[in-house]
This record gives sequence, structure tokens and C-alpha cells, in this order.
Amino acid sequence: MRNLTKEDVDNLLYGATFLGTGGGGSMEMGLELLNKDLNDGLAFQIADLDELDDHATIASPYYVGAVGNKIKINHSKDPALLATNVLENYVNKKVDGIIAAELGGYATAGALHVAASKNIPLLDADAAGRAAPDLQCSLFYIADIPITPFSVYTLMDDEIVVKSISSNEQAELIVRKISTLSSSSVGLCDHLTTASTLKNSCAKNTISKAIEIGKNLRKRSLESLLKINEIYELFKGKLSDSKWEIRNGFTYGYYTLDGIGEYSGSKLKIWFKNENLISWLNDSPYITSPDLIILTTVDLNPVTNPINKTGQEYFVFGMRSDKKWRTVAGLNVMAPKFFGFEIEYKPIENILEPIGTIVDHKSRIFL
Amino acid sequence: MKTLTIEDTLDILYGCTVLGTGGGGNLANGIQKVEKDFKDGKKLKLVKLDEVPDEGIVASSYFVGAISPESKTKKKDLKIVIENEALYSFNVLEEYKKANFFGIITTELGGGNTATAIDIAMNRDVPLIDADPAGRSVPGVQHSSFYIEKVPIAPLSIVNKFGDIILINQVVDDFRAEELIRSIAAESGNSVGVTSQAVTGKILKKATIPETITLAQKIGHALRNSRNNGADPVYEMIKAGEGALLFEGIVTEDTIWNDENAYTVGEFRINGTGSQFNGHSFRVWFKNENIVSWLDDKPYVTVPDLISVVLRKTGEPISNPYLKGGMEVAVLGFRSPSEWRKEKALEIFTPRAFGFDIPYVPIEKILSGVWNPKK
Repeated sequence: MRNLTKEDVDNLLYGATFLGTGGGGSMEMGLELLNKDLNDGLAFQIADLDELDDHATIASPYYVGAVGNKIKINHSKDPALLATNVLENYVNKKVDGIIAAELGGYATAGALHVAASKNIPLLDADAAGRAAPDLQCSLFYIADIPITPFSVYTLMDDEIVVKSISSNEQAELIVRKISTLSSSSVGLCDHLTTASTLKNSCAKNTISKAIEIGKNLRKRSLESLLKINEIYELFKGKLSDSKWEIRNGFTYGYYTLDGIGEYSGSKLKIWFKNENLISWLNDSPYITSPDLIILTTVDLNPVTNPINKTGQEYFVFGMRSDKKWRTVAGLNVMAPKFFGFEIEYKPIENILEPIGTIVDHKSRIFL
Repeated sequence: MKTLTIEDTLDILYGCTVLGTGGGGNLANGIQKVEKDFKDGKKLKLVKLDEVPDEGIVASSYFVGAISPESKTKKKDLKIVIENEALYSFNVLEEYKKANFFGIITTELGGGNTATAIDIAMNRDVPLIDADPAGRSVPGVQHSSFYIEKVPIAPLSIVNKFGDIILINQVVDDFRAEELIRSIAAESGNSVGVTSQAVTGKILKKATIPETITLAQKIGHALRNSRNNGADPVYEMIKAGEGALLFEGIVTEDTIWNDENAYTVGEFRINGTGSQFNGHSFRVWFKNENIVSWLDDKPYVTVPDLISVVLRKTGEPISNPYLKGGMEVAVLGFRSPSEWRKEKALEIFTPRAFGFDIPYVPIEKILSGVWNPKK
């Protein structure tokens, strides 16, 4: 168990936004939320799974909505915290620890805020190892941890408990409808489980990883960022085209980057549903979900969707997804097919390091 | 408390359909439900409001349809696991409230909707309360004495046939509750069972309209009796409900209607027949229920008073939008319960609330000189 400093918190949110792959909420709002907690004297405790009692009750609070939504959340009424209270009341049990549903600038900040407000630890883990669009895009789903009972708290102060649900898809559809009716901003608390159940069904050490990545991003050094295992540089280019819309509670869109520098003459196209999910290099399918497709500015500020500054220069990075995403069950909800694309998922390392080639996997990508 | 026979119960459903003023759900489905319950040996008990213990909890159960179209995501993988969603929602709310409910109250009077409450009463062996929060059928959630008397709608339970079970513990107001319920219905094959307004007998006595089931039964009984003894069903029903004959004639054409946000909205017109009405015309605008009528294109009887259309010869009530050109009909008018004549109620349930620049004039004033319901 350790406490995060202000420096750690800043690093965490930079790193979580990077791992949020375009989604996961606004980092600025996340920083604001946690700075207020720091000013209020709250402690940010981080715990490893095995530091908690096996029977410890863990819950996962988060937000559901379209990204790019600039609705100001009133900090005294954080819907994820209130949803957690609703669930605690419903099951008549106190939560002992919090696990983030995903990594993201606001998503992870929210989980930490809930933990700090309740004076309980946030686990050094999360349910995705990245940000992911649909409710069922969760490692908990793959591990068959029941989502119910779960609670929803809206900005209109509606308190909703879903006692049982016929399928996770149904949970997604119903929650998304409620979110759409709530200015695309609701707090949820779900996957009430125990520490022992979580041991094999979450992405581990991801909070630490986000802090490490954030630290390197804030150094503004590409070289030191690429020293982190698993991070690949994919592209550098200028935004030439961007189209997006908010539909059914999600932000959907495409953008195209025209290569610059060593990528000159190439085009990278990215499709996103809140998160960046599919990419095409010169019109051929390239890195796809569940692997991570990440945009930063050239000075390594992570970027969230949607973007629209034509002519702006960006780096694109790739990362391997948690290996649980690469199982049949994981690919069922995170491969391109799930999002309606007839593209077969190929692991990023197979694309970037085809068998028989010797490449420096940290910087080389062009085949 | 009295135990009702199947005849009494069918009388109630027919009477509810007349008082449903064109809305209130499908009578044929309602009849089917209660006939099955009687066949299965289940009993229906009716209690008066003052028989409800002050601490006894009574709730209101009903079905709600969707406003927005069902999402395109196929539900074919979802099995139907709950057959009676409204009954299930009653049980869920009971469990949530950690109390055995004393009884059930219908959400309004209607051939289909009151049958839903009766069906739950019979299946759970709890009494139906001889009262309701509308005294008729009404188009919106706000058209309810629960709303006027500020009885909170939450906590409420929502159940669909796939087994999705949802509780709303707290909600801003009834409009928001309706919006949330209908959005869930859109993902539920367009229908959910809902139980809400679980209130104590003490509150129920203040916030509902008494003896409306008995009134419906009287009207239904008059209809049945007239068929047996050859009396005029229209006049028998008017007598039983202390109403008035508003018009008689032939429907000019099939009802023209639209589905507007899950409401059936439209108009129908009747050309007068007989010495009293020959040469006159009658028009009705409805939003599920009949809302405004015009006699010779001048505003006539309107909500909150009741405008009900029945077949002239048989007295069979016709719900919207099923009036067909050539049907011979009679239009019956009834006074609304006094609850609707209070200032606060008139803010939400007059022609103006539906966008018509027509003042509400009570039916007995419109018909003064003619009005003599006891005759």
C-alpha cells in the first residue's frame, strides 16, 4: 500500500490518458477533480491485489457517455461516487477497495476520486488495460464476473439499481439509453466482487504502468518513452481530414493523418468509437483493437477524441493489449468484427515484426 | 371487502372501457386475462378505501410501451423468461420495500389497464382497491391524483420479459420517470411491467379517487343488463354513470391517426341522426383518450370531463383509433371526478394543456337545461 504524491497523480493521469487511446474522458477535468481532493486533504492510496484480504469487497465505479462531452460535473455530486453509495446501500455492504473500469484521463481519476472519498485504496489494476467503448468491452465480462447488481446515478439525481440483466449487451443498451437521456453523463458502479476473484480477471499493475508512462511523457522525450517495453512508434503526420458525430451515446468518427518526416508520402487513417479502434496504413488494415492506437501531440501530450485541428501534427503510438484480450472471448468483444469491420485482428507485434525480419521493435514500423 | 364473480369482473372491465374514453388499453386482452384467472380458480377481492389499514402498503402496477423505436440490435438471443412482467415487478418492489403489500390499485380505469391490476390481485391473492388516481383513462403520467397530491412515483420497479430487472430508487419527477421507463421499454421488445407509488393506506386515502371501480361496475352492469332485458344500453349506461347523451350519428370515415411519440393522436367526425341530432355534426380530437369535442365545429365537452363513444345499438365501447366509417354510434359524456376540477388539476388537464385555445367549461354548464342525469 502506498500513497500517491501530487507528482504521481499528474503522471498517472498523463499515462492513463495515453492508455485511454482517445477515450477515457478529459484529462484536464480529471486533474481538476483530483487537485480538489488533494486540497481537501484526501489521501490517494494504491494497493496491490494481494495486499487486500481475499474476501475484500471490490467495486468498479465509472462514467458512461460520449467522449468530448464538456458537461461540467459538479464535484460535490460526482455521479460515480454517488452510484457507489447507491450500490453499497442496496447490497447493505461497504466496499473495501476500488478497481478502475478502464484507464483514461477522467475514468481513472474518477475511480481514484471515489476511493479517496471513501478512504479506501484503488487497486493497481483495471478492467481493461486501456479504455474501451462498450460496457461489455471489459475483462470482467470475459471472466464471467456478473455485472449485476449495478447502480446508475445521473446528473438529474436519478438513482437506478439494475438488479439482474439478461445479457451484458442488454446492460450496455439500457445504460447507454439512460446516459443519452442524461446529457451523456452518468456514473455507474458495477462488478461487485472479491479480491480473490479479481486475481485472474483484470489487467494488473496498470496504475503503476500509467504513472511510468506519464512520467516519460512529461519529460517530453520520445527516446525515453520508447524505452518503455511494449510502446511502438507507428506514425507521425498532419491531420488532413476529420469527421465525427455523436450517435446513440457514443462519439464516432474517422480522421486521416498525412505522414511527415520519415513517414512522408504515407497516410494513416483511424476510426474511433470513443476510443481509437481501427487503423489503415495507405488504405490497408493496420493496427486494430484490442491493441492500442494512441495519439499525442508532437510534444507528447496525449490527445483525446474527437480532434479537428487540420494541419496539426501528431505522433501515433501502438501498444500490445493485455493478453486476455487476445483470447477468443476477448476478441469476441474487442476485435474489428465486433465494431462491424470485416478485418481480421492481427497482433501488433506480428504486423510490426513479421517472422524472419529483424527490427528494432521500439522505433521501426515501416515494412 | 367483497369477493367478485366473473360477471362482476367483466362488468368492471366494460365499465372501465367506457370510462377509458377511447384509451386505457385493449379490452379483449383484458377479458382474456381475467377469464383465465377465474378458470384457474383464482379469486378477486375488492376493498373500499376505508378498509385499507393506514399502515398497509398498496402499489400500482401497469405496462408501459416505448417512445423511441427499438434499437436495431437483435434480441433473438434473449430468451423470454418472464411471462407476466407486471406481476413480477409487483413482487420485486415488494421485496425491495421489505413489506408484504396489502393490495393493488389500478393506475387508471381502462379495459386493458385495470385488467392488469386485477390479474395481479388474483394471482397474488391480494385485494383490488375500489379507487384509482384518475377516475378515467388519462394520457400522461402527470394526469394523476398521485401527481397532483405529490405522491412520489419512486421507488419503482421495471421488469421486461427477458429478465432485466431494474429499480429506480429516486427520480426527479414523474416526467423523468416516464422518460426513463419508456427508454428501457425500447430495449425490452417495446413493453415493460412497472410497479410504482407504493404508498401507505393513510396516503392512499388522501391521494386517490374513491369508489371508481364500483362506478365502472355499475356502468358495465347496466350494459349487460340491457342486453338481457332489451333496454336501451346507451340510456342505461348514462343513468348508471350519471352522464348525458352528447351525440348520436354515423361515423363519417375511418379514424385518421398518427403515432406521435408512442401516443395515438387523431380525429374522428360523426354526422348526426335522429330527430335530436339530424343536420348536426360532432368532432373529437384524441391523444390516446378523447380530449376535445366540437358540436357543429364549436368547442363542446372537453377534458377533464369524459367523452366516450359506444356502438348505438349494442352499447359496446369503441377505443381509439378503431372507429370505422359508417358505424352507428352514440357519444356519452360524464362529469370528471371533483379531483380534476381543482385549480391545480385544471392547469394540466384542460384543452390548453394540449395546445387548444379553448377554455374548459364543465359539462353540466354546457348542457345546462338539458342536464338531468337522474332522470
